[in-house]
Amino acid sequence: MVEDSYDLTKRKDERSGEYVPEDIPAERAADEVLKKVPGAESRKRKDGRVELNVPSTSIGSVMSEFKRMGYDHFVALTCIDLIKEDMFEMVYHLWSYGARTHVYVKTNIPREDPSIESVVEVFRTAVTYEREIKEMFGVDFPGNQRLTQFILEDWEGPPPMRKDFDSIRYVQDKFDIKVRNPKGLPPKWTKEGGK
Amino acid sequence: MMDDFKVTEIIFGPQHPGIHGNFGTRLELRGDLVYRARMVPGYLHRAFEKLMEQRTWMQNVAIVPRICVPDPDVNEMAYSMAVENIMGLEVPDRANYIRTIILELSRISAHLMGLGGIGGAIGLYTLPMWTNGDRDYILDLFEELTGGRVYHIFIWPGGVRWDIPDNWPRKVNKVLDHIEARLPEYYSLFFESKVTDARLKGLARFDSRWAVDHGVTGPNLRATGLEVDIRRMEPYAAYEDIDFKVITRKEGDGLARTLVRWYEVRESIRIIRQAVEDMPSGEIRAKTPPPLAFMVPPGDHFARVESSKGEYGYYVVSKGGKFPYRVHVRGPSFTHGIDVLEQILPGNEISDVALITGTLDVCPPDIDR
Repeated sequence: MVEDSYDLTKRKDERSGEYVPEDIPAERAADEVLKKVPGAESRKRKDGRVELNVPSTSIGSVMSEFKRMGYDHFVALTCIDLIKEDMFEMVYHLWSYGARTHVYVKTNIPREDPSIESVVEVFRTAVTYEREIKEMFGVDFPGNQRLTQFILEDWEGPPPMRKDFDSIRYVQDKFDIKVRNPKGLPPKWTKEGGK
Repeated sequence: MMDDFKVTEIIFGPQHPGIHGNFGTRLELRGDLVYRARMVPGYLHRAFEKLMEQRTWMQNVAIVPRICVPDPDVNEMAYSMAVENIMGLEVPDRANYIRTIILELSRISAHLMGLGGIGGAIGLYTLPMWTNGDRDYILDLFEELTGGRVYHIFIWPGGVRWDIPDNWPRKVNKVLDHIEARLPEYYSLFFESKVTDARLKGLARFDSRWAVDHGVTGPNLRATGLEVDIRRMEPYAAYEDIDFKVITRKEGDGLARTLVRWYEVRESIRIIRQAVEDMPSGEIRAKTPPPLAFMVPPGDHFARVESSKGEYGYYVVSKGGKFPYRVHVRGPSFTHGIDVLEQILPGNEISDVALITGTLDVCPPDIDR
């Protein structure tokens, strides 16, 4: 059980109302999370940081645990397509301004019909990362209201950052490069249509 | 009551002189007040992250600086740091000092460009002329050292490409003297102007708690009073040996953000002078495999660098072999360029939209990648 002094509501300095960063080292924070989340494993890395492997179903509670302990800078969310293992690996990067430590929280989700709980409720920053991953990898994030089109406009193909997406094949199929007459474009934009 | 007003939708950018880079904003206006804002990135999307998976480790060094045009060297640095960490390479001291000089020169040039952009957004067109003119002297230094004005491709995994020429530090000092002498002039031109006070004071104000919750980093976060700087928190290059001050302001508004940038230019000048002074002699590159046979053992590392816009991170995953398995770029604008802007623009006048984007120093290329 984490002591009450780690409570987020107490982290605002009463007099000035300013933000005071909490100072809990990554190892201790990881231990606290390990106690609460069944199935989680921690690993000491050779770069000196802490890595935590958690079941994908508990990602929301893991994130709020870390946030409560001062890991309130959501650095990034990375999706890695592990095509050989038939998995997507999601890596949540967290940083504590007080303890000045970085934590990797890793979780795997199946590649078929991928979906993982959104952490937007805990970390508002995640909203854009999840939006991008939805578009580039096709991973769904139930709970994120903002999974709208991000970068790819009028995109019909499969999610392009997946390992089995062949960029060259896609371009050759979609666009007829030799006659400079892309099939997908309206006639007025093509060479013939512009005449 | 508000529903009686007509809602006008305006596409602000990418073809607007006030917008920063190739970046669009879809604004819904009631009168001249922004009611809703939606960011439209993607005009610069060149699929770098996908491309990097199909290029060798060393080819990628030439790709990464393109991700941030005004401040390209942080990309090379973060990428190199990630690769070095996975490979276990020890970078020689001299290379670290040269890297520090390069990174700080790049920071000055990016800040000068950013300050000019803010001056342009309030109609003070003298400032962009001055700052961009002085920035050119820094580009001249880069050209002499690296051969490139904008993209330098000078920082490599293991060190730097080559040693600095003998007379180069003297020229650096000369340029720094010039810029230092110009800084008070910028101050009296820009910060002592009544227009600046009227336009920037209290503009898009947020506090440190809100900023941390929304992933704001770098000068924008320091302008809210929080003393955070990756150069101090997780020192890289030669920053551990160098004495510098982390610039903070309390106000958290547009003026504070701009002032932090102005003071940071002065601080960068101090850092470069120290690095030039204390430059150790020795090797400039660790022993690395030849570029065509450059292999990285399996592993992953997140390397972070303090850029002129905020936290720049590279998460590099290697499964062994000649190509990276995955490279994820965490650009600072990815957080404060999309979600933060969408939340702070509503309620502001349309004339302030370009100014707020400028004071936050949004750099669209690192959103798109």
